[in-house]
Amino acid sequence: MIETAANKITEWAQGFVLDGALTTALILGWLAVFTLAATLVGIFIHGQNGRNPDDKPVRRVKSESSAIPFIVPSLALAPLAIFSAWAAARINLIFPVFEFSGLSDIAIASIAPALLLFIGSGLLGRIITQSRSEWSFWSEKPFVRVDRAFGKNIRSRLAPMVASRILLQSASDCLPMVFSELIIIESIFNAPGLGFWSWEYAKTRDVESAAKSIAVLFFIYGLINLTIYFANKNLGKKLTGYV
Amino acid sequence: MDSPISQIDLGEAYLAPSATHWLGTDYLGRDLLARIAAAIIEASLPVMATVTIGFVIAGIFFLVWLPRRFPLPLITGTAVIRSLPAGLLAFAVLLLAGGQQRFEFVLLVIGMTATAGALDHLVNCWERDRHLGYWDAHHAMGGSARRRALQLGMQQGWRQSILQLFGLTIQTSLAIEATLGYLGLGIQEPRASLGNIIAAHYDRALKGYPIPALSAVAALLIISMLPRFLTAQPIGRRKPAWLPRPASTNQK
Repeated sequence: MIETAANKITEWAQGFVLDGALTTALILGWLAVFTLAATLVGIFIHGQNGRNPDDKPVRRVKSESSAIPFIVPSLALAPLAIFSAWAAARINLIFPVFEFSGLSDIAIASIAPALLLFIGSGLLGRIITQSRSEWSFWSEKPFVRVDRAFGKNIRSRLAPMVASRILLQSASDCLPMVFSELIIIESIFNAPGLGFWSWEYAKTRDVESAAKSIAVLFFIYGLINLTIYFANKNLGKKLTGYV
Repeated sequence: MDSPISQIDLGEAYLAPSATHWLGTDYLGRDLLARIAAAIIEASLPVMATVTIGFVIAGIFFLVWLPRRFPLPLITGTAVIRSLPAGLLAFAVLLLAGGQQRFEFVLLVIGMTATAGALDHLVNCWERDRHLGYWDAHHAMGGSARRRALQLGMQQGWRQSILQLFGLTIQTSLAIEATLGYLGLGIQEPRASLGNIIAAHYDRALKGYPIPALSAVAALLIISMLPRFLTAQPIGRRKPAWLPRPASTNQK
């Protein structure tokens, strides 16, 4: 029974999911790497600033304005990046032909689209503002002040909490824009991902295949959102214990 | 096609910028500046108008409904629509419409997401603030819920966040419209959209003549970032400069 179901799913997905999922997964994977790296850098920088708020005033962030992600349309950002990379350093950011390239070539070519998606969807800006506000928020909590009075290392205690909050908050805020811009990023970079194939099918009026690709994208989006939701829920329980 | 914007002259294709054509001409010999202006008028302004109408409808609905509690399906529905990727949703709607290249469908999706987003934001603000001390005092003195939401909320406490959401929604909607135009699912030639101008000149740009594509890209950047910057700063009544700054909690 399970085998039959697996066969049916493979048959349904054959031809577009298997082709497109790899590239899309690579782009989203690089995006996750950039998000993680920016969070760690944000914690390192702002952790130093907020080390001792009694001595050094913490820079306060306007909560309302920091809640709005800073978005740049990928349709403007991506062509600019492609033209300037070619004009300045003769670097070709367009994807290599899929059939004639190894996995490493595809993985390297996925870096630029992921980076532009990271900047354009507002994730970078969101992480910067979020890391500043989270650190200043938590470093003024009574339990942190008590720990500091006893000479404990505040940064090591706060860092996991702040990092997870930044990651979850930024991801849940910017994920819709990431998936909105995925099709255009893949189309401009000629990256044969799920978004690119759905566009190709839409151009040839193969509505059924295009709808399948979009359905898979929505499924991935829902899956990531559910993961964020449950992670937020569990983290919320932990944080209420601290507060 | 009598309009000067649509006058095709293949002999004048890809002319460099000059006094006659400030940004040069496109692949059909049309004036590029006029095409970009037409794109802003034909595509960007309707998108802005749609978002504005969506916000007004959400505000009116919110105020009309207000004395009653907001039903759970409405709250959940608006939150779900707001959390969906609008670009992907618009793409899916256009596909479900049989791949028809109708700008009206794009505007429909943009209007729907803008209305849902604004309504969700207003309901969240209401649920957050309705038991504030001075709101309760207003209620105790016989003030109506609508007046509280309008005067204490929309005109004071919520104004900045509503404006910022409005700017962000316009920005994302313009990006979605241009994206669909680029993908060939939004506005079609000979009508102009920043997306289809970029698409028409993208290959040429890769071959070494980037002026038409870059002009459209610059126009898209300016037109999409402008509402964001205009609504980012506090608008309206500001604190007089002579008022003392609030004391920081970090000061000893």
